[in-house]
Amino acid sequence: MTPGTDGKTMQNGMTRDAFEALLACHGAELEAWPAAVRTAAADAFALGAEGKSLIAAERAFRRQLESAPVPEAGSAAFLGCLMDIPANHAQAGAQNTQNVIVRGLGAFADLLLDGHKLFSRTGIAAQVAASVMILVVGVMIGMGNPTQDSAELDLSSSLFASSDLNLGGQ
Amino acid sequence: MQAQTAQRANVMTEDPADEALVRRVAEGDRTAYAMLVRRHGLRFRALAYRMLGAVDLAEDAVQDSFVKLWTHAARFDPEKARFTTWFHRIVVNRCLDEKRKVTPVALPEGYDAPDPAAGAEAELADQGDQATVRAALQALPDRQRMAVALSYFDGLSNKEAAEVMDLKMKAFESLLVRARTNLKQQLMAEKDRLFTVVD
Repeated sequence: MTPGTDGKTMQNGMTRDAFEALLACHGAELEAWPAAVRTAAADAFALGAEGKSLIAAERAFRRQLESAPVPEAGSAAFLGCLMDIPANHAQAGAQNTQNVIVRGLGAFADLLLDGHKLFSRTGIAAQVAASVMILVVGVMIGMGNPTQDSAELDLSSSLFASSDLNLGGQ
Repeated sequence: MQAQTAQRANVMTEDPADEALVRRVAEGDRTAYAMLVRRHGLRFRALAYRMLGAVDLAEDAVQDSFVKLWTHAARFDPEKARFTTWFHRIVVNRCLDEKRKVTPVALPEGYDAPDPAAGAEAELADQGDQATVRAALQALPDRQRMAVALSYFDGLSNKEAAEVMDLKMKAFESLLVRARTNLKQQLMAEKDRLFTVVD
């Protein structure tokens, strides 16, 4: 063992601080460490007296942490409250509606791709329903955006206003 | 027919993966939801308790998180994350929201703080290390406490915990090391304080 330049012990290039950081990150059980750091740490520290003492201190620290358990009183009632949630809360409707639309479009696409289904009774009924829907939607859009009355529409008015031609004089 | 019955029995008895259960929850399956509650309810209650330091706050936070699971299960994408990572994020974010809400209560004018020496001996005898550890944990900054709770108490791997906290692995590990150093200092200071008042 040789002292590090910062006064900390150092073995095979690993400082005590670095070894403690590895203990903090990966725990006191070296078998659970990533292979690369386990080998380096074992070479450097873990097999020596100082390494063993640090590992023992880490185990004691973890035990101390575990000495503060979570209160168990009321756990069963709490689980009961969680179980009641579906009875008291509706699932997000938008998602369900979206799922229904996506499923419907998927089924219609399947129908179009399958020749047998396309000309079955169900297929023909679906095609008729789709055609009627398209017709209704088209009519509704048309009613919502009427064209201008023919009397108001004078395509020629802008044509000759800016022109040098004077047809009236001929 | 017998084969079909046997297959159906297998499906009923085997433990479906969390991700499959969430998919069923999204379709309104209450049985799948109940299985998730039984599997994870108390684990997340414990995690929230470590974060918030009070059972009632912890239970509220986890209850809100399960409401979110029930109402928005369709948002879960198993290709992006495991269920536990996704749900950890929900619970952890809810806990952080709760921490932001909790503001110190102003003491009334003329308030006379109790003498710590009076209860210290009983505190040592009754609660020993438990009170010390709880106080040390609660004294940590929120993100450090979260790192300790996820890694030391909840048993997540560093990779999983880093994902939950949306950090790179190295950043999470350095957060954990800082938390551990702080925690050790807090524990030492707390012990010194208790022994001082007893002396």
